[in-house]
Amino acid sequence: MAYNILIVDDSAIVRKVVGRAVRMTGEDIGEIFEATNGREAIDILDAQWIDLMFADLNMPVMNGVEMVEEMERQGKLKETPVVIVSTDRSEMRMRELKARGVREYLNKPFTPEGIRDIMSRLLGKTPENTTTD
Amino acid sequence: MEMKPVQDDAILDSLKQTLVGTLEDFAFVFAEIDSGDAPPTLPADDYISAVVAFTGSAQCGELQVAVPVAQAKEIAANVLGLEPEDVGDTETIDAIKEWSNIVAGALTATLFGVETTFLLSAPSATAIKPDDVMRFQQLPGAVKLLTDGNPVVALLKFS
Repeated sequence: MAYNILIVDDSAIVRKVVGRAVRMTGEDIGEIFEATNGREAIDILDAQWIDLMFADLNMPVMNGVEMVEEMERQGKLKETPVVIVSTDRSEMRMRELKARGVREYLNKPFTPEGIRDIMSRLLGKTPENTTTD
Repeated sequence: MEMKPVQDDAILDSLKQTLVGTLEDFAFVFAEIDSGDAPPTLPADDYISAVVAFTGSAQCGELQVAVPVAQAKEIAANVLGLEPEDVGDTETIDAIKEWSNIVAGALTATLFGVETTFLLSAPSATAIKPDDVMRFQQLPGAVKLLTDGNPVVALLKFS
C-alpha cells in the first residue's frame, strides 16, 4: 500500500526538505501533497485521502494550532495522524496538542532519521508516541 | 511597544551559542564567534536580513539576523543538498527566514524554559546594502559570527 503524505509549512524550503526525508525512508510513498497553511491543508484533506501529515505551527492564514482545532471539530484528527514539525519548543504546547490528538512532535531542525522513525511508528510498525529531536 | 537591543552579557552569550549551534544543525555550516577585537569593515556583498517577532507572557521581542547573499545561498544549498549555483533567490531567502525562526524558537526555550509558551511570527525578509550592514553591526548588542570569513550579524531586542 502506498502512503499519501501531506506537508504543511509556509516555507518552501522546509516542504522540500521534509519531502526529501519522506522519500528517503524506504516506505512505499504514493503522492506527497503540499500546503502553505492550515486552511489549504484542510481543503486538501477534504479532497484526498492522506495517511500522514507533517505540519508546522507558525503559519499565516491558519496556523497549526487552529488547523488541529479545525481537524478535531471535523473529526479528521481520528482519520489522519498529525505530526507537528516546529521550532516551538514549549512542552506545555506539546502536551496541549497531544491531548487534542496530535500524534508526534518533531523539533526543527530535524534529521531524516527523525522523520523515518516517526513514519515507522505511525504507519504501523511500532505504535509509540514520543517526542523526537 | 518600543523594543530595545539586549545588552546583557549572559543573554548575548546564549544568543551566540544558539546562532552557532542552529547554523551547524540546520545547514552544516560552521561558524565562530567574532571576538570584536577588529573594527567592523564594510561588507563587499549585499545581505539578506530576516526578522522574527516573539510574544509570550515572560517576554516579547524580536530577533534579526543578517547574512551575506553568497553565504545565504550556501546555507540554502546545504539544506537542500544542492550546489549553490542551483539555488534560486526564493530558496535563499526562505532558508534565512527559516534559520531565524529556528534561532528564535531555540533561544526563547533556552532563556525562559520549555514550560513557557511563545507565539512566533512568520519571519519576514528584506535585502540590505553593505552601508546598512555596517551600521547594523555597530549597534549596541549586535552579535557577529564569522562563517568562512563572512560576517553574519544578529540583534536581539526586548520590549
